[in-house]
Amino acid sequence: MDVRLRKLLGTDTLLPYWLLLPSIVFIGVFFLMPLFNAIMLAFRADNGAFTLDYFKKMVADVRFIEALKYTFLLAITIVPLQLITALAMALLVNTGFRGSRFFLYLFALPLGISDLAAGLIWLSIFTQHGFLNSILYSLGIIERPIYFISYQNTGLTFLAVVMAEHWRATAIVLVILVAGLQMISKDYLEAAEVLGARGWKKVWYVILPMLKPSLQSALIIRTIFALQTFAVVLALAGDIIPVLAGEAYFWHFLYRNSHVASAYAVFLMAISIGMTWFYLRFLRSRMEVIRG
Amino acid sequence: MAAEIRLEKVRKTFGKVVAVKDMDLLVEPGEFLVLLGPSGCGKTTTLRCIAGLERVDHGRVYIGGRDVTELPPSKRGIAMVFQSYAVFPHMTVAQNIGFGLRMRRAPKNEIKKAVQEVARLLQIDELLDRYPSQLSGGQRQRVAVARALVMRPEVLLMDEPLSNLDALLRLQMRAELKKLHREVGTTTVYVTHDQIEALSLGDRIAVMREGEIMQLDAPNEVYDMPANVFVGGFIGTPPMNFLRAEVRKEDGGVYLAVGDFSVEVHKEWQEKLEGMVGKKVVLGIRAENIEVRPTPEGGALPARVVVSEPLGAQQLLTVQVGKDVLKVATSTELSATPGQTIGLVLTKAKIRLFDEESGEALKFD
Amino acid sequence: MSYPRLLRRTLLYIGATAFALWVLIPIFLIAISSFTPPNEIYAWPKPIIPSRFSLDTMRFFLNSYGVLNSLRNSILVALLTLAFTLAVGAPAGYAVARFSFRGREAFRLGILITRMFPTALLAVPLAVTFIKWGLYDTLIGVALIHTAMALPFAVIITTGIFMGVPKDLEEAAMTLGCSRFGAFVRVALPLALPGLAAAAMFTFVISWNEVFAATILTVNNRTLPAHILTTIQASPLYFRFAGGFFMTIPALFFMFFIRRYLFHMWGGATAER
Repeated sequence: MDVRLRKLLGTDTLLPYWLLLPSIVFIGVFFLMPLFNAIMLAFRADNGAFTLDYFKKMVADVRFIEALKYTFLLAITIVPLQLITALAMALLVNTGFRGSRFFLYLFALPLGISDLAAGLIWLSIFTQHGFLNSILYSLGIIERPIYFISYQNTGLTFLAVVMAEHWRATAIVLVILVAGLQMISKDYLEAAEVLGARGWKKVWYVILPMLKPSLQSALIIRTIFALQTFAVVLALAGDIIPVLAGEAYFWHFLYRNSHVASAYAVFLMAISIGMTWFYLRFLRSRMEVIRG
Repeated sequence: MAAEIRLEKVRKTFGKVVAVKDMDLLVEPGEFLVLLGPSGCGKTTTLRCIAGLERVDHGRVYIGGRDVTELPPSKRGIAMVFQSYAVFPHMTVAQNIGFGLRMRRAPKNEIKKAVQEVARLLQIDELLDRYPSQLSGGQRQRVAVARALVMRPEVLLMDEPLSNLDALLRLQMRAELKKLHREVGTTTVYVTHDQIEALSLGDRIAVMREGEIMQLDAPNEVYDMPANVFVGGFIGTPPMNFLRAEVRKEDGGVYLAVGDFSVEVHKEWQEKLEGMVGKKVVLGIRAENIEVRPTPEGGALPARVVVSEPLGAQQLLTVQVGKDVLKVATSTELSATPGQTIGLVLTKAKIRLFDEESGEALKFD
Repeated sequence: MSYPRLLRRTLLYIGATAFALWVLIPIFLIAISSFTPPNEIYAWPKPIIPSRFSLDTMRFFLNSYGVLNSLRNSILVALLTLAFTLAVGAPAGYAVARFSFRGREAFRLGILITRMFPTALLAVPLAVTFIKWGLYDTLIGVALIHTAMALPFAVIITTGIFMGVPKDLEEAAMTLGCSRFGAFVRVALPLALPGLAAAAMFTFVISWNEVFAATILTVNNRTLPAHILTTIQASPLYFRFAGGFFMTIPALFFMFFIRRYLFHMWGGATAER
């Protein structure tokens, strides 16, 4: 038999492909196909003709601009906040003080908490008779409850959403950064100390530059996820703060229009891909960034 | 019990890299063969091809006359000791050693007996109930050897088994492996990059480079009569010295010109070199075969001392002859300071000559 | 201990404690809310510690129409997701960890990209497809998209886990009489088991927490988060608080068990060492 043919048929050569086959088929059917279908639904009318009507309908909707605005506002506010908080936590844990592993576990706890649950948790704080108002009252700061969550106070409502999301999703950034910090060889740090870099100097000149890939990776992942913010907003603020993912949900669930819902989904995916492209284009060390 | 191993035109490539290049090899029954070479020379790949852990691209592998090329490792009648020992961390020492017999579905009491026997042989019978994490590196190594021996394999394969041990333990285990082989008599193929290990253990040594066997001979042959410049340079501490020389003839006598000086050759070589007059060659000589004189008088080769390193029993001089640098072993009594010119006398019988272009040894028979 | 070092250590602990309180207090507050009598939830000003410990709020939540049913659905979907994800993802993780083959890097890159993709949004077109296939409003349908979301993580985690089991061990087993599969079952699998269990729990949590796709793909067979989300506007506050707390408990529980493996999930690079 031809050597190459035998080699191809030999289990050792083909085995890895057999092992990959299920996941490739799965990704094809439940990832690539719906991706394709989403585009089809968004651009094709029921009679099969290409149309931009659904996108026009989406853009013309009164809530669209608001949703777009809030989605971006949320991402722009939350992502930097989370990066800073997580970096502080990661550097703190990285000093390796006694009990730091335990604190790391505590800090990472919200990682397991869903966005819906996080929204409800912070609702108990921000609701009219919630904990925040009660505490402010008992401290004598206010006389009657502040309406943190209301159409009259969209600014405060927005802040409440920011606080809930900040609280929930900082843990993901933390985990990425701590993993990145663990990758930095102790040799570099010791070399830095020998060369006279201590404390903040060491952080600024050695740790941060080496942590850059992790920071960038966290930045991309969190931005993409922030753009999808949905359940936190719905649980905490109902429809006071419209967001793009929420609109997709409403169009599908309330208005039963999967075309416009798909248009929203495609729009969001396009923004996500665009954002990733933007980051990768303007930040260096691309592969490391995607690898996380 | 002990089987012969035969490789016929075995080739193994990884992508574009040819790890084993159409190798022919015959290992006699009961022989201890060492595959020696620098890292990346294909010695481990050769071993893995024998074991069946790598599928050969081409060629055949025979063990005990049986064509095993297409057989999985489990059906080849081999046992292997890995560089990392590969002792199963989730099994006790006894379970580790008995693993292979269990796979053969040997009766329980037989397994127990065999395990105890081999454990005693390797002096780990006290450790049978422990887990590998409770063992030292040396003890794990013994478990790995015991696990292979208990199978009573036709062929025992060892991949750098001593390289993870510290120097003292390595010395001790080396002697023990040699003793074990004498007692058990299994055909053994042993991979190492350590030439001392190869010289001390092997019945024969196969020196490999870039997937090819450069020389396959008994240890003293490999040491004294390297087949080429590579083997001479790879084996021995320090490696063989090489001097550029030219075959010349004067007054009816053939001699080798090293720079402006002449080195006499063996009488037997005289006539054989006759036909090579004017040819450039490489002269090879080992450090211990050079006699050192305080001054270059009486026809000794003048050499300038570069460095002297006292090594306890002797001192090692790095000297320069023309453009070539040599290592010379001498007694510690001789005082040699850097810059000093000394005289070298080469032991005629120990001189090797190599073709300057191919690096192959010149054969005169 | 010198004065500056003592100061430094004190500051470290103060900082760590502050962050820990920031994380823990909201969880503590929702826990309290869930065990406050329903009428006290609306009291003004509300005391931080309720007048009495009460199971009424929790009982009301669990007895509400559809909750127990959706809880059962959630557990089933999560278990199905776990089974699908491991069945599909673990072999791929093993292949990536063990073999070098053409296309390996492309596959890994593809997995890393799907990990970052907003997969939940694919529920919208999938709803249309699932209606055709008869998978709409079924637990399997939800489990399938949850699997699509969890799969990249499962592949990455299992790759890391199998890389942690030296190839030598399996090869040793093969020289000792095992087939390739036998070596996997007897050596690699037992050693990978703790890691695989963590991967399973992580998958479970992903499915348990997911709400967008679950809501889009179901009508009657809601999962717990989908049920809570769709009834949220019509539910009293104490129902929402109890629901929020109830959804949090298993997550906290699982986080405890997978804490050692956390860095495999997002810190992909660590797993590759």
